[in-house]
Amino acid sequence: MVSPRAIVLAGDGVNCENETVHALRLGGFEAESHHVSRLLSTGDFLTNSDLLVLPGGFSFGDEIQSGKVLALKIMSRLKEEIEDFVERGKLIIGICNGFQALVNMRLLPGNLQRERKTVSLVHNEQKRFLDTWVDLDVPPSQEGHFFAGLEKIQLPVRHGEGRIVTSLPDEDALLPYCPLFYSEDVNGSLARMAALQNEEGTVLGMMPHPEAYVRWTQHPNWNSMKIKGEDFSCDPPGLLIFRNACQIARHS
Amino acid sequence: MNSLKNTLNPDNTEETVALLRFAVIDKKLNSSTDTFELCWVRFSPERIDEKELLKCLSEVLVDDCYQKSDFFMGSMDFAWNNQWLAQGFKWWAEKQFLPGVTDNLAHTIKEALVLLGGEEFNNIEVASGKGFLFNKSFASKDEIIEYSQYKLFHPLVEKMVVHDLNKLDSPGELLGYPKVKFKAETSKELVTVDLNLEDSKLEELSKNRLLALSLQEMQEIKKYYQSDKIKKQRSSKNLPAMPTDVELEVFAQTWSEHCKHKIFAADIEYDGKKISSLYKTYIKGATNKIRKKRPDLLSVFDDNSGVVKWDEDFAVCFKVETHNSPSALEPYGGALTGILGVNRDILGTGLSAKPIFNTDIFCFAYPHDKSLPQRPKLLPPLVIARGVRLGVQDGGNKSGIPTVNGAVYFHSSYRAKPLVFCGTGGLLRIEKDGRLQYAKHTKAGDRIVVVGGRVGKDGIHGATFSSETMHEGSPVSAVQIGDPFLQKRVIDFILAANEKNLMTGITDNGAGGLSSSIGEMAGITHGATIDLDLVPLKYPGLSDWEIVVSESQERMSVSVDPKDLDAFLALANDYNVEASDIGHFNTDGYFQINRGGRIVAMLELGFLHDGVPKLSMQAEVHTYKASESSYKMPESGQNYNDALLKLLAHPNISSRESIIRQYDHEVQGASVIKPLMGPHLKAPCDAAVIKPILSQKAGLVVSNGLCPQWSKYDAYLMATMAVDEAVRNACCVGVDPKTLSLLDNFCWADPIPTAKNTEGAKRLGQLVRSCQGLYDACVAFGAPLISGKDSMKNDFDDGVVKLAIEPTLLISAMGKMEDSDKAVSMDFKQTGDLIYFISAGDASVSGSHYSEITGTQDNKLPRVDLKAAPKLYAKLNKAIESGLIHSAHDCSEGGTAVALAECVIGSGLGAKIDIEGNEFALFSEGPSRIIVSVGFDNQASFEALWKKTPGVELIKLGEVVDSKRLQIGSAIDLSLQDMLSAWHNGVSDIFEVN
Repeated sequence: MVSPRAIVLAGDGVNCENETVHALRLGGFEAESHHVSRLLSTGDFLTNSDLLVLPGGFSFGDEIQSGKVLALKIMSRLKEEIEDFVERGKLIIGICNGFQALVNMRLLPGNLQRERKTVSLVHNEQKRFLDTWVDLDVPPSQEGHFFAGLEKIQLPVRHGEGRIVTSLPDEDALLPYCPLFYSEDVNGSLARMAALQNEEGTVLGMMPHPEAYVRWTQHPNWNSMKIKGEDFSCDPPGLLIFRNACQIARHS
Repeated sequence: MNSLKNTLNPDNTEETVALLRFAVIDKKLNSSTDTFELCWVRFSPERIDEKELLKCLSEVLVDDCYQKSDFFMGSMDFAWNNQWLAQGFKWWAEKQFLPGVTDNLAHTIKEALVLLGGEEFNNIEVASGKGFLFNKSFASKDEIIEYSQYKLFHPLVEKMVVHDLNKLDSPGELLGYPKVKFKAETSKELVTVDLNLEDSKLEELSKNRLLALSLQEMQEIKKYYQSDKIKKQRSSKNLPAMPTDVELEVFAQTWSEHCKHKIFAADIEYDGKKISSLYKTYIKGATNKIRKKRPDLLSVFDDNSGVVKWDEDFAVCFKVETHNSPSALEPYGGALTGILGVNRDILGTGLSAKPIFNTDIFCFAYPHDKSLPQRPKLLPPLVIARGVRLGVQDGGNKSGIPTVNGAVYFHSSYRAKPLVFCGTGGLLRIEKDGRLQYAKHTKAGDRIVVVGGRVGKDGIHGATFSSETMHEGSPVSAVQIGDPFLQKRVIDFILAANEKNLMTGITDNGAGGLSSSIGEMAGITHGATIDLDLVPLKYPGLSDWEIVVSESQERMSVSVDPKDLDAFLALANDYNVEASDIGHFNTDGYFQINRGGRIVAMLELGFLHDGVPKLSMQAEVHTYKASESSYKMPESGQNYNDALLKLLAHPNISSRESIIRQYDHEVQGASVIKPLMGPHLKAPCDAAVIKPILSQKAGLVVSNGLCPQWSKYDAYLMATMAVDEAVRNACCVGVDPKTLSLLDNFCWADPIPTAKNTEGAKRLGQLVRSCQGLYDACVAFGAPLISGKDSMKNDFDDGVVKLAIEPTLLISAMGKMEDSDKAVSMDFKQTGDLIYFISAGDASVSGSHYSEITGTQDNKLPRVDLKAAPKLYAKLNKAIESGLIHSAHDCSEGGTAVALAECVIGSGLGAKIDIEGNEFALFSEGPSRIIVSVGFDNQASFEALWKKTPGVELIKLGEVVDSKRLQIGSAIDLSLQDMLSAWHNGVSDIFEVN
């Protein structure tokens, strides 16, 4: 079976491209990272790809607003190609800074921002950068989606601007677009939302880092888990998310 | 592509220039959120359409979801004032960077404007700042400035102005665009410096020009220029007989203590014996002694970092630097440039290495100690601690390099100067396409290309103020702010260029700038010529010598084969990095610098690099007379709950979570042992383990050791304790001790004895003893030193108060474990596990933290048993390798009771210790002490392992229980919650700032 192809954006302050490529390969993709200049100069890179990943990092030093200038740069040159890519049912995943970029590109959440900017990722309520592991809940009926088969998982977050806010009068309008919730409040995010996706479930943005949990010994309590006999032969949750992505890519 | 190109021409007086003020305000701004963003845009209305500019600015800066904007072509208007008055404010203030200070936000705004509006926007200038609102609880502008200083702005790099909202201030009263202006045109004439002076005048010259050259060194240079050979040589090349200002500055830089390590190279008389170079005798000496057993040492002491073989294909490298003086002046910028600087050391190793981890160690004065001296030139310790922490956060996080390990140590002596140690490790191939990657291959004919940031007046003469009197338009030269984003682009580019084999050599521009980087690389081919006209500048008006010694950040110097030059420059363009061909390497024997079509410096490399006269000094003998113990153990049966809680809350012992959580310690996806682990993420691990190659099992271990509390008694002991601690920390997580490599970082107060420096001889004696301790410990552990650094002027003297730091030696360790799946964290794992205490050497209450809080003393000091300790660590490794133990934790600050408490806190479980805890056993501090927990099943094989280990003691303490309490005989009985509260909040108010 031919592996789906994934392209991971690199450069301009992105810094998780290597481990994201590593995770995608473990998940079944044929993956490589491309420098943003190369992507922008040859827009046809998307033609042969099934998944585009905007990984974590500090694009443009997180100046102005996280992900803002990267979004501007991509959309000023590749708006049509990206829109076409999404229309063709291809996948886009934005992780952390990549999520912030997708929201600024108004690809998320779904069509809610078609008319005007209504959703943002802003400074954590505690106004500090936070690197910690968090408990997450996956709402039911995610079959065929990125979080299929997952219910309660743990992943690390590493961000200073992860609080979802909206100017929509009906804040609940966002809920159907959220496939992942923090079990407890982490950063003041609206309704404890940790991720957003589009209507079709093909474009996903998430603050937690799935690529940082593709090996059991990445978990901060792996020592105890091992001693207590936890099954390390199956895949950790982060890797399962990439495996799911690979399944979706095969069928799209 | 470059945000700094084509800025408005200051000389073009024909052009009218307009200034736009643009404010971005949170829609929900209220008295609890009282700041807003400000920026200043300077543009020519003839070239830029104002409407288009505003449209682009709005799109770039404003998020309609939660922000609104306001703009002003002149000054702010009544509507502006009234909206704030209506919300109950009385004042508004604005701040911006001083002219010439790196403004990262402004660079990004401009780049975004160009992306959106096109190349024409390259012709605008942008400055960023912030606005603040204050209510009537402030009575005057001065009161606001006083309140805001160091809290909201730092006067060395920023300016803040306050406005009364009941009054409209004119444009002149508002902050304008912070334009760099020079009072006078720089001289077009070649400037020479007459050295035909008597000694006192030579000294004065060195002082006035901030050359920091001693009289002996000035005389040496004078003699050199007076020699017939040089006179003849110079006249034949049409050069003036006396040195040009550029030449003198290059000498000063090359011969600086910072670059030449003159103290460590000096002849020192100690206790009737002559030591010819501490460095050669003890530091390199230790490595040479061990080297035969360590074929993995690929490049030590030669390059920007020490390089060690990792496996058949890869090597790892490691370097730790200090950035003390800059951090004392401007803590944020000082620490930020410190971490970015050591990242460049890794990037500049061999043909470039990829930075894979950071480790940072800070030494601060106690932030809340009101008894410490307050002097106008000493920043408050709290300001220093917070600024340094934030600088390292931005430096590490934004570069995508995980901060995997670190330490913070408080001692009142660091009031003289904070110590900021920044370390970085890297990964490189051993060989690629037939070239060794850990060596330089620069050859004559190669082009000299500078890559990255532009050159400005920043960082000229390091941390001393420029001789130019500060005036309104002076660019700030004493302190610098780094640009982690620019440097990340540089790192990406350099690694890509090396992938394509486009470089023959590379080094970083740190201290000394081009003078240092090109001067050093010229040594490879024995000659280099550069043209200053080709060096990209931040702004015009820099004199020749300033361009040569400027320490402007984020720059690398690269040698490129001429055939690869076009490809190299094209790739730089793709990566949005500026690269400029400024000259070539040759075999002429000179470092030649041209500008404006003529030679401005011609330096003979032989004399430049080897001409510095050797220092000769006499050290005072430094010994501690070991005496009988004067310690009297209190009667048994006492309770020590309060003492333990007090120790857990001690700034040197309490949880570092408030710092760790703000550092990205997991990026690159390689972490195995993280700074905090366990079921509740509270377990403070002794060392870090990462997997440099994600697909392989092997783990790289990183740890540190620092024990300045014993310096005042015995610097030899301090050094052996520091080595033991670094080794012990690494061994606790499972390193193979046979693979350990060490780095030394000496931070001392001035040890050069002079009439003025009466403490010099004593400090020099301490330095000698610490080097001897370092040598003995390295040899005993079989752990070679691979790189190091010294910072020897950590004192303060403003004519009123004299302060000096305790002699401080940081030992950083790096090693390997073949299977990182066997790494252990320090938290107890399950109930029923047995708890053991393993130790070698002697402990003492002297120097302990218990002694600090109670005053208990002893004449007898701790002792490292250099015979037994290596055996202890080898067996510990065997135990971890065979999976016999579930946790291991070193006992350091606070002693055994604190270590046990930490193991309990980390586990969320409890421990019951059956042995009666006496004061000495609980709180004394010493070397080679480890708490381990062992599965019940493994008791016999674990205990058998320690038989026949002379000098090592194994004691079974008790077992892990589910009580959520720590019970030690009748001495201690505390709940997990009480211990956690004390431990958790010790320093959080210092480091958790919104």
